[in-house]
Amino acid sequence: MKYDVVVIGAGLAGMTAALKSLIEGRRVVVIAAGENTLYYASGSLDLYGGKENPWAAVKRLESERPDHPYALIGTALIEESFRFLMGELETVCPYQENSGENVWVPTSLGGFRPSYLLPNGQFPAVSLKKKKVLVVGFSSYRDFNSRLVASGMVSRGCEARAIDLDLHYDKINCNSIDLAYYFDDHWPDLIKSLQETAKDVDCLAFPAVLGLNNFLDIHQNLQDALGRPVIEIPTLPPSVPGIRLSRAMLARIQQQGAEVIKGFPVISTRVSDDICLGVYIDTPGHPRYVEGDSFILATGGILGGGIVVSEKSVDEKVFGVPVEVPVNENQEYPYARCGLKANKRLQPLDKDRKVLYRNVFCAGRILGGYDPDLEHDGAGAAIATGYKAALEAGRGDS
Amino acid sequence: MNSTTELDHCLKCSICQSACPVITSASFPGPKLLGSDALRLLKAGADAGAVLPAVEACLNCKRCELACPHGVRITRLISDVKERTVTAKKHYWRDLLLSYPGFLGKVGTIVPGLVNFFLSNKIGRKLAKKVMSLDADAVSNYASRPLSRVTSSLQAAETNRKVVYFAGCYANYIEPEIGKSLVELLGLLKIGVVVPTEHCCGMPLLANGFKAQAKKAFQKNLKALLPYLQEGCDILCTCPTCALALKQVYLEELGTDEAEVLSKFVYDASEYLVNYSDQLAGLIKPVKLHMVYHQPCHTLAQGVGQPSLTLLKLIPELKLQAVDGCCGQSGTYGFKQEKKKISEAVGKALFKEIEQCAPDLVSTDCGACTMRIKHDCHLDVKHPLSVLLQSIKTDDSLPD
Ligand SMILES: Cc1cc2nc3c(=O)[nH]c(=O)nc-3n(C[C@H](O)[C@H](O)[C@H](O)COP(=O)(O)OP(=O)(O)OC[C@H]3O[C@@H](n4cnc5c(N)ncnc54)[C@H](O)[C@@H]3O)c2cc1C
Ligand code: SF4
Ligand code: SF4
Repeated sequence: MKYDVVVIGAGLAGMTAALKSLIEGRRVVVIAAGENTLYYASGSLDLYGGKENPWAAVKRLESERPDHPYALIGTALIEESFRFLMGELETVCPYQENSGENVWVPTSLGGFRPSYLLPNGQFPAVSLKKKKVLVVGFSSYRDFNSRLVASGMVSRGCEARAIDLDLHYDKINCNSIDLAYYFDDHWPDLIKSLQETAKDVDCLAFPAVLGLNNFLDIHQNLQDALGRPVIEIPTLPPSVPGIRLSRAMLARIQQQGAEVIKGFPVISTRVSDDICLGVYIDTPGHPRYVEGDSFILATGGILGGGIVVSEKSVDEKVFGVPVEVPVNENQEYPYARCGLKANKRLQPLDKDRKVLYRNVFCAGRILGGYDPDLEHDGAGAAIATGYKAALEAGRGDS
Repeated sequence: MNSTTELDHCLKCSICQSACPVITSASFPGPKLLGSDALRLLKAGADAGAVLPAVEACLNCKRCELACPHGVRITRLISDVKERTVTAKKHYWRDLLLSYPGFLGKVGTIVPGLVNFFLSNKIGRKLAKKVMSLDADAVSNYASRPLSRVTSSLQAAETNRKVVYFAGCYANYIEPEIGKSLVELLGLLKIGVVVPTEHCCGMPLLANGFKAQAKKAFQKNLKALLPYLQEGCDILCTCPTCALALKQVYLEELGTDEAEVLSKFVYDASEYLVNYSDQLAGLIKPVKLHMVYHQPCHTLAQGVGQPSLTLLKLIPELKLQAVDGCCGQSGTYGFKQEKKKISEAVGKALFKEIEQCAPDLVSTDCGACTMRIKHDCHLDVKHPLSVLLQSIKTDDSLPD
């Protein structure tokens, strides 16, 4: 069976690419070795972090850093990609922006980080300053220290205090996922326990575990019942807001008619000169061969599995595209910027900057030239390059 | 890779926990704790303590494994833990008996009237509940003639090539119509079929922790299939669990060259037939019905995509919706009294989704899913191949 677009990798980049391709009417298959790094991420989507306006930063990168993924895409298309994704997610996992500015979102370690697009649960962070906040923890959940979070808020000028609720839910090694499923059913208990205490504060902050399936209703109902903004603070992995986003995107992709093969990696390819004909998936029994007109390589970075680091080398294993590892450009950790080199069409380049495969387009963390951990631009780069890769894949190999 | 090296691949990221349908049960610690964590402790001779009895509640649905980004074969680790704790089972003898559906099937089809009467009768159901801790309300009827006896009376088609049909217990003893549909469809494509003497694929034994007995069953089937492999025959399964066993589990557990050869020749029946879509499309007539297709866990676990859905899409005018999610039945798990609550909690979301679609008919590949959905949604459920064949034979509405 031949597809118009074969997407390899189901992270933020691959799923954005798949969605855009589907909306453009293409026949799409998504192949993924497993779940993606959104399961570790905060669920808020970064554009560019720092003190300057993020769009001004994007403009600056466009001229200063020609290898940065943003420079390959350009501001106009980045904006278009954000609007596209927000539109697709509007009913299932809505995101909001703060009139073109970053929002400083509290973290579960007591700090604050800049981010751009926020899910409903995190958006109230916009107006946290100088507020009286009640930070609510749960005694059975050891990954979230309400006092630590409250003291972090105090250092930012809020008047925060902490309480811990005993849920009488003593699941062994209870983590964020257990609690999220628990609250899918038991969220009304929170209203009962907090109704009185809430009256003394302007805002309530919880670890981001308030439901996995019903999270939209739960957030709305809690805000209504308590009469105050409710903010969810992203937790240590596994991260519930990231899982919500990942699941919402996957469901949308399936609803739009894509075939999804998850659980098995692509292990090799069939190529003819500079054209890829198909890929082999390592499925039980016999490898599965999937043919396509265009291929989107969105297998992620080192953590996602797209870039494999061994003692002797750093490799991209599916197509064997060379991985650039910058050496000591005054960076503390050059591996953070390692990745593939691509041209403005996102086709992968070899060491001499020649296009390796004309119908392969790269997207997301597999690309080099940026450092999401320092720059806070991981999600932005994944969305923008995923969107662009879909446009290019639709255009074909010409 | 043996399970010791595999333990080191686990990063403890807990992603598998989010995919597990049983995780919402407060007594179930989840795949990470029951897989790599528990096995690590057991191998070191330490006390894995409180989590161990919970291992029985694993459905072996494999969803954890598909989610794991680091390729950990979690269910294999869990099956090791199950094996190490099998003697402590509370319902040891019942579980052993239930793990031989082939035997039960033979009894059931030799005296179907008697067994069906027993289970459809109030006293019989009570007895089953009391003595066996079985929820007989949900148990299916046995067929009046097993498949192998039916197919031997089918005419040998004039054929271009020959395949082997590994029917499995469900098609053999409970719904032979599935096997007959496959044989007829293959006949239309001029492909001949052999149905070897039936043995259970052995997966129920493995899922219940009886690993030694399971391996015996694997060996027995391997031996029976070997001559056909030497002839170069492909092997087709209509049951997703059988297909997964022959493709993957035999090789993992036995690790022999024969098991490896076998794994390469096995196909899910729809995976095989989807290659003949053009020919089939020419034969199919429109069917005016609203149908929901449910993808079983063990079809997902084969990584074949959705071949049955692709085949069903060939039927003009059939309104198709697809649903995803574990039904909670998992072979005989859903029949066990002490598992009933968990099983129901797992299936709840799926049944609600199906009911909201309000279809005329449901289609799914797996026998266990079929029984569960029939029982909980009160809808007729058919194997995709049966639907396909009926759309060829008649343009009257289904079900007949
Ligand atoms: C811990 C952590 C926290 C972060 N927090 C934030 C945050 O708060 N905000 C933000 O904006 N960004 C954050 N980021 C960055 C951002 O999440 C990532 O840069 C971005 O999501 C990467 O998406 P991706 O689609 O490129 O790759 P990934 O998410 O890595 O997805 C890769 C996909 O490819 C699959 N795959 C890999 N190899 C193969 C193969 N051979 N065959 C088939 N499939 C394969 C994987 O299974 C997976 O599905 C964070 C990153 C990390 C690691
Ligand atoms: S088995 Fe896989 S998904 Fe589960 S914790 Fe280990 S690495 Fe993570
Ligand atoms: S096989 Fe299924 S039930 Fe068992 S641990 Fe994995 S996901 Fe959970």
